[in-house]
Amino acid sequence: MSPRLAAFTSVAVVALTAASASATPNFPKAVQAKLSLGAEPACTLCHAGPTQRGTVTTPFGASMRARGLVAYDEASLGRAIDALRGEKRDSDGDGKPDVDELTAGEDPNAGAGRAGDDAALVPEYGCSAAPAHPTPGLSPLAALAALTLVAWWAMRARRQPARQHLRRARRRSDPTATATTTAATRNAAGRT
Amino acid sequence: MRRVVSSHRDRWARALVVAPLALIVLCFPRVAQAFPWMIRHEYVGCTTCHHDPSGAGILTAYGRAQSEVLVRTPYGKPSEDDEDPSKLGKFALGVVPLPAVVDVQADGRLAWLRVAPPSPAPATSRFVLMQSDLAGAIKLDHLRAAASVGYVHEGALGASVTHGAEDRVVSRYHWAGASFDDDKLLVRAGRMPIPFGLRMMEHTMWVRSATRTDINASQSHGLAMSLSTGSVRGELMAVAGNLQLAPPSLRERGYAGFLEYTPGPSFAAGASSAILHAELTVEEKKPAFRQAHGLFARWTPARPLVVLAETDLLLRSVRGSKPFAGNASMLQLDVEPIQGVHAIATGELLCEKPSREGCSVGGWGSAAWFFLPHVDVRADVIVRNVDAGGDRASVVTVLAQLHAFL
Repeated sequence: MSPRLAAFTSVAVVALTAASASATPNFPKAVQAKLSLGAEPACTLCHAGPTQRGTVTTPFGASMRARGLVAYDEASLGRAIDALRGEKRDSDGDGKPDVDELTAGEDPNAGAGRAGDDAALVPEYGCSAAPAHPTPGLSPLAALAALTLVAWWAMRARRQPARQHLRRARRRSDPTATATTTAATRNAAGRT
Repeated sequence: MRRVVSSHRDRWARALVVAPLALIVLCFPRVAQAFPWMIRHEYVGCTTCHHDPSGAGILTAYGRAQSEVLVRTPYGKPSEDDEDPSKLGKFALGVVPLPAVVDVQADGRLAWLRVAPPSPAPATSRFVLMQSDLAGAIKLDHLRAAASVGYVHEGALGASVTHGAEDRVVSRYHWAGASFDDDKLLVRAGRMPIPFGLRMMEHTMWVRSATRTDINASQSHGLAMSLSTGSVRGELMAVAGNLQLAPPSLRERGYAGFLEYTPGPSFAAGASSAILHAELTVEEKKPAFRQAHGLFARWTPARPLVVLAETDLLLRSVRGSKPFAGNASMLQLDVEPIQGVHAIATGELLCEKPSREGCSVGGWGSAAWFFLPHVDVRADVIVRNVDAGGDRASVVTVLAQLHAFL
């Protein structure tokens, strides 16, 4: 197998065998089993931002930590969920307890921001991240589009003199081509 | 005329072969390449191989050629009949020619991850699509620009372009600027990696994650000026915050930068500093300052061996609370006995709340093999003793990666 073919094959293997990722190792499955959910919850249930230390800061995640959630300890996860259930804790302040929202397939963090000053602060990611928080100024996508246009225009402008030079050189070396071009121009203009 | 027609046919045939492959790499998704161990080949700067003056991200044409000549394992002795090795390093292995001012790169990285937490929690393993990015860069007279776009199923939230917890479009960097004095000085604006410490691909290493300066999703928008001369390189960035994060009060603004001095071709040492302020923090809902100040070094005492070291002081002060200081450090030994084959040992330390729990320690044993043009594999065994809510727990992580780029 040539290196080129082998590289192409490897790229295809990388792409075609890809599977989806889940969040923190054992907790999504544990939450699913504990509450008999239809699917594993996403990492964003507890993590705000990257799924690493120090990011369990969503309203639900903060409630779980406050009730003794310990990293990697499924028993502590079970106890924290039981505590939330018993208290009918509503972390996002939307009037519906967290556990009820989870079992109904809803997001227990989604109502955050509606419960007054005491509501948790939930980061949102994406361009013009939320209609409630318009980003002033030029959006990154618009800036990128503008940049692409400028680059295209600059490249075109740079090539223009080279094309003109090539045309001139052709005319000089091939008088027939010049005659043909002139005749074609006349034809196009209707002057036969 | 026949030659012209057949050349057109060839071009279309090449496009038909490469376009679906490029699309496949793009459509399925973290981390770009960044190899501080290139100092073993006397490459102390980054600008010759990367469009980003501080390293990582899309490669230049020269960088692509060097990935063939210096990074991957060569097989047999090159003869005059062999294809030009630099051609294999080109975009799509040289099948699709690109204009000299444009570089394009598609990256795919697949990983198998196994995490063994302390008993009785069960070990878990899964496949993770870490990266599927398409990047482009332009180098036209004084104009410099680079941008990446990719897909992630989950993670890399800080780089999100679209919304939602899963299946998002991400852009890790997009910047434009102007270069002066034969590329020694670059002024650029946009989203870019925060210039701080050693720019490495191990984005979960504590020196990168605790300082929030990894190249996975911790980039920020701002204005930066970089300097790359023979013996000094550095970058200073006015950080405007991650504009892909809302509400704006959560964005960290301030400065970050580093300066590295190279007294000789086998040694480089530098210092980094960052002071960032957020109007509100997610946890305390109060204004906070976060600082990181550190030292780093790269040294190759003999060509097979490279020593990388970094230590950073971490300071955090939230209004109304007592400030605390911590430290993140790492020491890495990279041995390359045969070109393209690396054995890497790393020790790391994290002291975030020393008064309460003491420090976390970690060890990495890694091996990487750049075995084909544009293709490499890597395996890591990571053992970490981490803070687990008032106690310490050992967590073992095994990570195997297959990376390919066009």
